[in-house]
Amino acid sequence: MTAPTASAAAAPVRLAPPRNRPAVLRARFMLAARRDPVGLVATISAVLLGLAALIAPLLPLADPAALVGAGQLHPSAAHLLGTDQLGRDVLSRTVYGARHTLVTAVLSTALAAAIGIPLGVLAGYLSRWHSGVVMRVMDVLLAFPGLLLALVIVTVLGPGVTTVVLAVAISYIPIFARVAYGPTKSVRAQDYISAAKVVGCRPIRIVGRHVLPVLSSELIVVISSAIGWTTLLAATLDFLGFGIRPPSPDWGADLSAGVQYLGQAWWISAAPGIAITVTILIANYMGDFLASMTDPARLRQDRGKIKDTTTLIAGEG
Amino acid sequence: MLVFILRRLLAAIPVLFGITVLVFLILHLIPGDPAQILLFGSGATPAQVAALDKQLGLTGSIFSQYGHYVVQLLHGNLGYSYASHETVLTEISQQLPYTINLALGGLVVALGVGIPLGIAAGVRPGGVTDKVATGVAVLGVAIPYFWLAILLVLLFAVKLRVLPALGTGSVNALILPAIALGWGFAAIIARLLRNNLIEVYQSPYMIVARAKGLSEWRLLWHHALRNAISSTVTIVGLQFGYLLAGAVAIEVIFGRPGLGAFLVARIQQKDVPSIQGVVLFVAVVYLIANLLVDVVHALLDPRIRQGWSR
Repeated sequence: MTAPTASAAAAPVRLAPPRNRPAVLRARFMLAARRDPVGLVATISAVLLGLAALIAPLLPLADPAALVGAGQLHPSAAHLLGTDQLGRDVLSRTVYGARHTLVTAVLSTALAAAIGIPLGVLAGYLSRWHSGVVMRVMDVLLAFPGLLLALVIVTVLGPGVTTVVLAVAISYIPIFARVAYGPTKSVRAQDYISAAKVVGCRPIRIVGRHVLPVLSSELIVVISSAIGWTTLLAATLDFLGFGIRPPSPDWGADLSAGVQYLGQAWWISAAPGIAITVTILIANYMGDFLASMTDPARLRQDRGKIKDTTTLIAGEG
Repeated sequence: MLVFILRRLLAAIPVLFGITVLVFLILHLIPGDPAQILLFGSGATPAQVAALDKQLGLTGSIFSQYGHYVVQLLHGNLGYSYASHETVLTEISQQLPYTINLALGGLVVALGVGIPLGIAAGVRPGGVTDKVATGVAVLGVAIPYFWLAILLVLLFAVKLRVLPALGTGSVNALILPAIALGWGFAAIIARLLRNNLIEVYQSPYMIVARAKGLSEWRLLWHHALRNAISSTVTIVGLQFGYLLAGAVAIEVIFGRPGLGAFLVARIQQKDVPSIQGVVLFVAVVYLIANLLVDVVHALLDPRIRQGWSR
């Protein structure tokens, strides 16, 4: 149980058993950064994006709701991304829009993970009968394509910001449950779980100490890329007009508002559109990067980017 | 094979039951009494409201109401639209052809682009084609399809003026919506097929086949593709439901009629029976599509038929 205490760069490859000491983490970070530079860039971009959204009021930006000039001004030095149909600064609306869109995405992902993962672990760990009930309920939810389920929830709750968060969260609960269920079930059959039972571990301890750590790297990938997909789903709902009310900046809503002016002022829609695309990209690459920090073995695998979790989650389309 | 199909059908029953329960509950979770919404502004007496409640099957316990709902469903009655007072079934059947065309168009794009791209990338992983295909796939997954739709309109309809942006008349009018809808799925299919092919190419029987001196084409068509494509089929089934759902935004953007545009309009009008009808319809179609895919998967892959888990 000796963790490398020497400088991180000195011993990047041979790592001690997972003890989350800063030195181990730093060493893994360096290793992951070297093997996966794209992931590093994505992770840094994610931090910058989050930071920009957080400190938006401190940045030298125009008020996103204020009319700062004529409508549909071309991008220029004064307005880097031009102005929108009403004469509001597009750059400022995109940065402020990040606040709303990203908060929605992160909140709904957190909510979905907080409900879906325990459900999936429970279902995988408990008896066949219990798991049957839980997973059949999840199957029913999965029988509605993501956007459709979200629209059902919008119907019930009425349009609004909270609705979008809840709608996106509920659409993703079955996905998280699914992701947690399979591995839990196979871990449960392992000898070391039986051994833990024999020495008298309580189920909570077994799940916490022996099951969850095995799932962690997969869950990190799924959670991270889910932030990308929830961004897309939330933007879709806002785009369709079921979310935030017009004057507030939001990527989906702004994108939709710009559609009519496409021929004359493409930048109104392009800015939020690019923002959504970049967020999805970042979320995907960051997931792999963070996962390889918890599970260095991942680095040796063929790193086909945007991989199988995509097929599970993508699809809000 | 028959046993396999029967087992799949049996497994679908609880899901079908759950779907009907959930769709049924939409009506009850929505705030407000449906009969009062319907009669709003007409100065209806409580007796009239009660009569309408009875007519709509809204009397008695929630269980008997559900029973009533299911019996109506079994008779093919999806209820009457609050907005148009037509049967929901009529309305759906009017909108359906447009959405089917769009979804099939999207599927053609998804398969037509995704499969060749996946093969090209998977045959030589790490090569130039693979890098290009990966780039296309990554962008395809990350670009929101509704934004892609807008970009396509901007390029082909506004700037180049070669394809119409709106309308439903000609096949040309279907091209842009189908690309917008299908592109993301093409990316997913390409990605998956590539990864499967790479895996298959490393298996011992492929090495033997190559050692026998078979040509690359024969290797691909007779040995690799057959194995690699079967799990791609599963994804296609999963995606078909998403194509139907994705049609929502695409139809709104391109101003096309169809189930999606219809659903959005009816959500705004709080026309519950229509919403229930469309949601139920899509969920059931999705369920059937997945059943069919399971069967096709089993036809392609005997291991599935015999209940080997994968």
